[in-house]
Amino acid sequence: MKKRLLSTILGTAMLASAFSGSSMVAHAEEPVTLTWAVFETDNYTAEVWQTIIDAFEADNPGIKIEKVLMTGDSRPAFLKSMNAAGNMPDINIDPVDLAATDGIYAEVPEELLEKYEEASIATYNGKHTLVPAYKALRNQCYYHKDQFAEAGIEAEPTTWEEFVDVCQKLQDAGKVPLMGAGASDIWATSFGYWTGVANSDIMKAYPDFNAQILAGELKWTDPVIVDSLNHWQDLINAGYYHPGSMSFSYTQASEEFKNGSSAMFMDGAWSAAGYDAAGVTEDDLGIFIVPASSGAKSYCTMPQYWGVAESCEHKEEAFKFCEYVLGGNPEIYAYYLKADGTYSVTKDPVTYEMGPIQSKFYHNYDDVELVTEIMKAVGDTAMPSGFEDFTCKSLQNVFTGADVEAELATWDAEMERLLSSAE
Amino acid sequence: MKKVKADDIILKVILLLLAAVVALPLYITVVNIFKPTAQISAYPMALPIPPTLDNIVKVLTDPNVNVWKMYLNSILITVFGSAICMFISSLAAYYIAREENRLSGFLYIYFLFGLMVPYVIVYVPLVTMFNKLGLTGNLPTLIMVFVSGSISFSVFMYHGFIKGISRELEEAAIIDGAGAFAIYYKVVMPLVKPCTTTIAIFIGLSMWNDFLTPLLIGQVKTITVGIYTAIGPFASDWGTVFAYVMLASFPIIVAYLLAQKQFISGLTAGALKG
Amino acid sequence: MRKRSKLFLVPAFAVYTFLLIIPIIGAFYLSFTNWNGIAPTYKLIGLDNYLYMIKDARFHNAIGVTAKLTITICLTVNILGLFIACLLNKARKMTNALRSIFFMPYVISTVAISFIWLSILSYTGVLNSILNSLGLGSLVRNYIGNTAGSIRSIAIIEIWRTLGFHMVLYLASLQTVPEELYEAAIVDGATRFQKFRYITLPMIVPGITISVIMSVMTEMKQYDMVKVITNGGPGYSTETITYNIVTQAFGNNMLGYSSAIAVFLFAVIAVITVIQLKLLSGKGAQ
Repeated sequence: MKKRLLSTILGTAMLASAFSGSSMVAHAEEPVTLTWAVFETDNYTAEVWQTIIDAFEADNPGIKIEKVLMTGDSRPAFLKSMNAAGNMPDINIDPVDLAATDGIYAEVPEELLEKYEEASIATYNGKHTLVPAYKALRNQCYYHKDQFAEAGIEAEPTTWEEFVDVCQKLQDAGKVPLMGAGASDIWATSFGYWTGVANSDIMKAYPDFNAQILAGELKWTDPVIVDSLNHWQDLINAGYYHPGSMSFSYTQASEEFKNGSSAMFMDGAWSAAGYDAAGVTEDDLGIFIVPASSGAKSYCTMPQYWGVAESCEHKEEAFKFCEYVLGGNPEIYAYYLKADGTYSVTKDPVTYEMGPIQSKFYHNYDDVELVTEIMKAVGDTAMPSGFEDFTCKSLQNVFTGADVEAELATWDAEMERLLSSAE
Repeated sequence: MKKVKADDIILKVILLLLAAVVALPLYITVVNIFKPTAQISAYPMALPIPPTLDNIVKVLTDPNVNVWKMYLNSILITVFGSAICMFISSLAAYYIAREENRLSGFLYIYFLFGLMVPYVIVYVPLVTMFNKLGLTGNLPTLIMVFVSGSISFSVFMYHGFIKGISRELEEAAIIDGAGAFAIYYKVVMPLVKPCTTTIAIFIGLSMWNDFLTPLLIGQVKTITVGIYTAIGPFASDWGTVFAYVMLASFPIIVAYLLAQKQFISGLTAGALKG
Repeated sequence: MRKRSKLFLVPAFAVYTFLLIIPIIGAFYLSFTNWNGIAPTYKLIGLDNYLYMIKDARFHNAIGVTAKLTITICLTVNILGLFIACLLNKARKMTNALRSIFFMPYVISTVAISFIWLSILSYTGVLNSILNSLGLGSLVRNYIGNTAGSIRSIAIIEIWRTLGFHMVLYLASLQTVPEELYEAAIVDGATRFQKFRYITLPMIVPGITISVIMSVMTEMKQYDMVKVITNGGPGYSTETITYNIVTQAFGNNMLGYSSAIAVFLFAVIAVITVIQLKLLSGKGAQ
C-alpha cells in the first residue's frame, strides 16, 4: 500500500514537472547522472578528466558526471560492445566509427553547432549527430639530435633520397635509425608511415580520393599506393627499423625511443605536448616532416568529435556538458586541448601557450598544404566501419614482409564486402 | 642393481630440471614485484634486496583502478554464480537421476548438449536479446549468464554421482514423512558433498578466470578484465605489470596452496567425467 | 512413494533454455542474415555467409593457425605430460611436491599468464636481458614480433600452462595399472621400454583418449592468450577461429558472418565430441 502511494506521488510529480516545462526544478532536487566514456594515455591522465568533471560539476549543481574507462586497444569495438549490451555511455569521445549508423547518436541542437567552424561539422545522411571537439595534428619524425651529430648528419632530410641516406648513415654509425611499434597495438604500426607519408602521396595524386574510392572509381591497388607502400617496405627490408619493433606496444616503443634505442620515431603530435610537459628541449630533440617519395608536401589533421547517445535519458544535460567542455568554458576547453596538444574548432578560436617542442611541430606545417586523412574522414566520405582496423592489420603484414600488391588487393575485397553489407 | 640406481638419479635430475623450468616464470613474477622496473631489466633473476613495495602501492592506489570493486565483482560472480548454478543443477539432476521416465531421458540429453557448445557462439545473440528485452549487461545478468554456461557440466556431474548412491536413506526419510525438497536438501545433498566440492572448484575457477564473457557482456570490470584494462598504459613498466598479475592471481594461488588435493582432484575429475 | 516434483527441473531448465539454447538458435538464424549488429533492420541472405567462408582468406588463415596450435600443443603436452607422469609415478617421495609445481600454472587465469610471458618474451623483456647479461647477445630474438615466432611463442606458453594438467590426468591413469603386471614382466626380464610399450601403454589408452580430446577442445577455442599477447598479430599470424569470430562481430559489424563462423566451429566441435563419446563408450563395452 505504502509503495503504491509513493509511486503515485512520484508519478504525479514527474508529470507535473514535464507539463510545467521546468524540468530544472525536478533535477535540482534529484541530481542527474551522466556517464562519460573516456580513455587514458600519458597525456589524458585520470587527473585531466577529473579536473574537467570537477569544474563542470561545480558550475552545474544537479548534474553528476561518471567516468567510464574504455579498454585500450580499440575504442570503437569497446563502444560497440557497450551499445550491444545496452550499456552505452551517455557521452562518447571518439564516436566517429559508430556515427555512420543511424540511431546511435542523438541529433545535436543547431544552436550548439553554430558555435563551431563550418569545416568541422560532420553530416551523415543530412543529419548532424556529432559535436566537433578538436582537431589533432597527426605525426612527424622525432629524432635525437646527439645521435644525428654522432652519425655526421648535419641537416634534416628534405627529400625521400635524403631521408634514406640519413637512415643509412645512422645504420653505418651503428645506430638503430627508426623505432616501430606493433603486435597488440594494431594502430601503431601503420600510424607513422601510412598517416604521415602515404596519405600525402595518395592525396597528391587524387585530391578527391575518398569519394572516388567509395564510388568504385579507384582501386586500392592503384600504382600510387603500391609505390608508396613499397618505399615503406624498402625501409623495413633495409633493416632500418628496430629489430624489436613488432613486439612493442606503442607505450613500449615510445619509451624505447625516449631511452635512445633508436635515433628516429615517427610519432604523434601528442608526444610533442608530452615532451614539453616533461621539460625536454629543442637542444636534444628535433622534429621534421618525413619527405614523401612522390615529393608530396601535405599533412592531415584528424577531426575529433563527441557524441551523445540516442539512448541517453538526459540529452539536454548531456549536450550542456559537451558545450561546457568544448568551448563554453574557454578555460576548460583550453585545458582539454593543451593536455594532448590539439587545436580548437570553435568559431572563436581558443588558444593556449604551446611549449617549444609543440611550437616547432606546429610551425613545421606553416607552408604545407592541409589534406584529408583518408581513414579518419567523417560524414558521407567516411570509410566503412571496421575498415581502418582491417587496414592496420594488413599494414602489419606488409611490415612483416607480405607482398604489397597482394595485401592491397585484400583491401579492395574487404571494402566491397563492408560496403555491400552496410547497404 | 647399481645401474638401475644411476638411471633413477638421471631421471630424477631430469624431473627436477623440468620442474625448475615450469617454476621459473612464477619465480620471475614473484621476485620482480618487489623491484623497481630499472632493476628488473638489469637483473631479472636476482632476489629483491632491498625489497620495495612501490609497485604494489602504485597498483592499489591507482585512481583509475578500483581494485576492491574489481575484487568484489569477481567474488560476487564466483560465489553467487557457482552457488546458484550448483543449487539449480543439483535439483534438476536429482529429478533426472531418480525418475526413470521419458522426460528424464530427454532432459539428460538436452542438458548434455551444452557440453559441446563453443561458448563464443552465444555472445552475439545473447547481447542482442538482452538489448531487446531492455536488460543491460550488469552484474546480475552476467552472473546468470555464467550460471547458464555451467549448468550442463554440473547437471552431468551431479547426475552421475546421485545415480551411484543408494536410495535406502531417501526411502527411510519418506517413511518418516519428509517432503521431497527436505529429502533433497537434508539427505541427498550431504551425500554428494565430494561431488559438490569438485564442481565448486571447477566452475568457480572458470568463472573467476573468465575473460571474454565479462568483456563482451557489458564490460563488467572483474579482476581479470580489470587488469587487462589497467595494464594498457603501463605495458612497459614491468614492475606494475607483475603487481597486477599477482593481484589477479593471489586469491586463487592462496586457495590452491591451502587445498591442493581438492584442486587437483577436482579439476581432473571434472575433466575425466566432463 | 511420493514423486519428486517436476518443479525441481524448472529453474535449471529455464535458465539453460533462455540463456543458452535460445541464443544458439539465434546464432543459427543470424548466420543467414546480413545484420550489422546496430541497424534496426537486416535481410535474410540465405547461404551467402557460408559461401563467403569458402573464399575468405583471413578465415582460412584462422583455421590454419588454430590447427597448427592445436596439433603442436596437443602432441607436446600429451607426450611430455605422459613422460613426466611416468617419472613422477616412480619418484614417490617427491611426487606430491612436484605435482603441485607442475599443476600451478593451470589455476592462474590465462590473462595473468599472458602478461607474465609478455614480460619474459618481449624484445626488451626478461629472456633477452638474461641472454645479454650472459654475453649471448647473438641469441636475442624477437619472439613475438614476427610471423613464425609469434605462433611458436603462443604454443610454448600454452604448453607451459596446460602441461601440469595433462600430467596429472596421466598420473591418475598410471595409478590404475596393477603393480602385479610389472612384477610379472620383471620376472620375464623385460626392459624399461618394453614394460612401457607392452604394459603401461595399452592399459592407459582411455586416459590418453581423454587427455588428447581435452587439449584439442581447449585449443580449438583459444582466444585469451592471442588477444593479450599479440592481438592476433603481427598481421593475421596468430588469429585463431575464435579471435576471428569476435573481430568480425565487434570490429567489423559483421554479426551475420561472425555467427556463420561460430556455427562452423560448433559443428566441428560437435563432431569431435561425438567421436569422443564413441571412443569412450567403445571402451565401456569391452
